Amino acid sequence: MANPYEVLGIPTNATDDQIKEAYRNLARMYQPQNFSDDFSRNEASKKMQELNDAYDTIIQLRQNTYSYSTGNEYDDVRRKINEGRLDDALTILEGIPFEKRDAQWHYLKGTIQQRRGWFNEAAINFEDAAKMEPGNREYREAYKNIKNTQQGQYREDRRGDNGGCSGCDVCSSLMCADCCCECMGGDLIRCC
Amino acid sequence: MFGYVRIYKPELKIKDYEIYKGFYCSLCKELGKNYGLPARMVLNYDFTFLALLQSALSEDCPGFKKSRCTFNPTKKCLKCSNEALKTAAAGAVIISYYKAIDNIADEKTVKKILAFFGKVLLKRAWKKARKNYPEIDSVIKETMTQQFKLEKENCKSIDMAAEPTANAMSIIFGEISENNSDLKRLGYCLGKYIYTIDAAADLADDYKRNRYNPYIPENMTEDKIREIRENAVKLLNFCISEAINSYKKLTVLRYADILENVLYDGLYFTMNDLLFNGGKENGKSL
Repeated sequence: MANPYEVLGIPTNATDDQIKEAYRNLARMYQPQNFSDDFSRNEASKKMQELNDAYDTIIQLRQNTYSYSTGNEYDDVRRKINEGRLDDALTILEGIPFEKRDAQWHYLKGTIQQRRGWFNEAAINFEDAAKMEPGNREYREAYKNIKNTQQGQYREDRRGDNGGCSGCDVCSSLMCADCCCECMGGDLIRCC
Repeated sequence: MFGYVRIYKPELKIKDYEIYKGFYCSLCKELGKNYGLPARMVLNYDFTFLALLQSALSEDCPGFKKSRCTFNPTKKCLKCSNEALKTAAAGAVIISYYKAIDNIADEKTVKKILAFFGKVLLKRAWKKARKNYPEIDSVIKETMTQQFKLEKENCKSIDMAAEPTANAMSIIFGEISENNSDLKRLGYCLGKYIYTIDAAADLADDYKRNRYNPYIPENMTEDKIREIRENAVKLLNFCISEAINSYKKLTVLRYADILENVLYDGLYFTMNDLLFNGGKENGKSL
């Protein structure tokens, strides 16, 4: 099929209004009713069909790129990430044109890269996401986690992992229990 | 002496230290027994860790026997022999053989001659290791090919440059565990750690001798070295953190304290020592 933009005689970055106007002008010219003989009328019909196809194609193309940023593609990406189909998720993301790559794009790319093990690139993408949309809690949390990891949070987590009860925990719990008991009129620990 | 995946001795219990040393000495013995005297030169900590990990996951407990060091008969040590040590020995031989070939191509004069001798001495050992563990050989051979290609293209993305090594370790760790995905990820993270810390530690040397290093930017100067290393630490911490997350999902039957010492302390202290302390602590032998 011929380039739809060429058929309508407009550049690819024409606005929606310019597209509509171009179509209307050409359609007015090629209305089959304008022509008296059969041959010309046939040709005009064919041209009208061509114009209609071109117009429909452009509208559909533009609607598809809009739906990328309204979230349909991103939902698909998230689903594929959860299923572990990282390559498929990445293919969808890479298909989104540069101009449409927003904070969510960077966040999802970072998520895929982290799963794959490309930690350096993942960190850069999480940072981009948080900076592009500072109000978004999901991206902010992700970026915060990355920074903590990079600074060695895992060592703190291990210390905290000792769990269980220390002597301090036992003593302070008993003191609290004694105070509560005394408030109610009893006395758990006679000497306190 | 060789290897980046080390214990942090000060935080190890004495019994655990003795066990770790037992594995180290047993690996030396395994290398000598199966691959000849020259093969003992390839003894390193990374493969000691591999043997320890595989033994920790295995149903069978290795039986340690009291013995003495072959080279220093006054030193006592514990020795054992199991499948894990055989695998680790083969891996160490194969990797060292390919590294020697790589060095022959890369290095100049003295190191080149040493590498040449290394290759000659290891060739017989390598052939035997390759026969017993063909999968490990093909993985490492493929890694070297990919690594060579990346270096020729002067790859400046650390993630991409580290990928062959990380992948190789992932596959090797998979080999010892019927492709357990958590173990594979642990292998991946350790492989990435090893490659990255090697690149960051060799930064000054590579810059001086005009050798490939993914961390050397176009406008490199001496004073950027510290800044680059501090950046590398972020990636290294990430590798350690993810390695730990994968480790936590494993069912470890023994040696957990030693493994955790390596993952939580060893990797961290090795990183700081090599990158900011000139490797003074790590130069000491076990």
